[in-house]
Amino acid sequence: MTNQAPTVEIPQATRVRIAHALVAAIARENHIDVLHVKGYAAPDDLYHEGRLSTDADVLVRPHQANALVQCLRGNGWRTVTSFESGSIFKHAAALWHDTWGYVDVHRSFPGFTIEPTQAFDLLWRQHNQKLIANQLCKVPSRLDHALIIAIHASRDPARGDSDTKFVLNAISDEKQELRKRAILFGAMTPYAIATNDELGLAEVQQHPDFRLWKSLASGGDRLELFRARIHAATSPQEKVKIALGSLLINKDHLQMRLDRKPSITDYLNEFRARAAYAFSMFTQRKTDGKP
Amino acid sequence: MMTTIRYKIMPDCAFEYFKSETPTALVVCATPGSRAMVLSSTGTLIWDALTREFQTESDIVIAISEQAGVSPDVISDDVRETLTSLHESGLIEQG
Repeated sequence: MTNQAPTVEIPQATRVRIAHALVAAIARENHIDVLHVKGYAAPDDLYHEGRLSTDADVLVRPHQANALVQCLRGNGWRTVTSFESGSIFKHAAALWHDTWGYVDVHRSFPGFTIEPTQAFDLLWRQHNQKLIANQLCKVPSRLDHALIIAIHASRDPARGDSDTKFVLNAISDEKQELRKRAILFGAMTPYAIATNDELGLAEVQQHPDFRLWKSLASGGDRLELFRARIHAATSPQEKVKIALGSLLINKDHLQMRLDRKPSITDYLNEFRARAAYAFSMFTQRKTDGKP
Repeated sequence: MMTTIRYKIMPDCAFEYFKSETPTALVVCATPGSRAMVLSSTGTLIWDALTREFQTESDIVIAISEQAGVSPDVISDDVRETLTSLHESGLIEQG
């Protein structure tokens, strides 16, 4: 009989669950408040059976976000994308571990427009616990988890529709409560789009962020998303920042795309491509609607 | 000679059973910052015994010999080696 297995492939679902458990242990040891969200951290009945997750998502108390990233780095994870480079929302950092894979550390949740610490406190006040791979992980309440799944689904053109339908069916008796939570978190725009809430859609159609969330929900192309971001920006300064930001090269994303450290030539090529793209956006915009 | 030291899984240890191409279930365990350890066969049975509560080496040998239908003498060295290895890896503690 053998005690230690020879090299075997650990299933991805197991790796993701172990990652959740290790993050919970690390956070507890370092007195960092963390909520485990989506995927295997969600109540089992909020996703259809057999749905696979590829990473462990956690939401950290915003002022402890950098501390958690440091702790994870001290335990074998390395930063792949930082909070600044991760997404247009600058909400999460992605960290990679050679055995356990990705952990996405969220310091805010896209779609919640109230102040991130206030949003975290609202979730924290009603949190539950779920045993994942032998560690008790703090998770949002069932209703809050349903809201998080629905809102996340609104920017996931691939699985969003089926996830939303499933979660709404699972909490059918509490739909009004869910809607109230969406209002409380200032998340009516993505909620209304994801759930096709007629009343909500009528309310949010004039909101500056409506076009952005519509574009995310439909998997709009880069140009459409860029325009939607400009439209959603609440000040001229922010619009300029987004426009200039589109020319800046995201080192982390470029490295991920190339699967190696970018060289000077890579940066130059990327810059040329972006400049050409910006020019084409400009010219396309000028000719839009003209014969 | 079996020791009366009691063993228990470390409180910060994450583990999960999983199926592979092997006929029996495997278990993968790790603590923060440690290397993953994957146990199979007797190792899985030892881990299973450790999940119950503090167990002595002889408790574990008896439990496994009953489960596997083999004499305690056949597995006692295996159990001792595995417990030592798990303890050295920081996955279990002595109490």
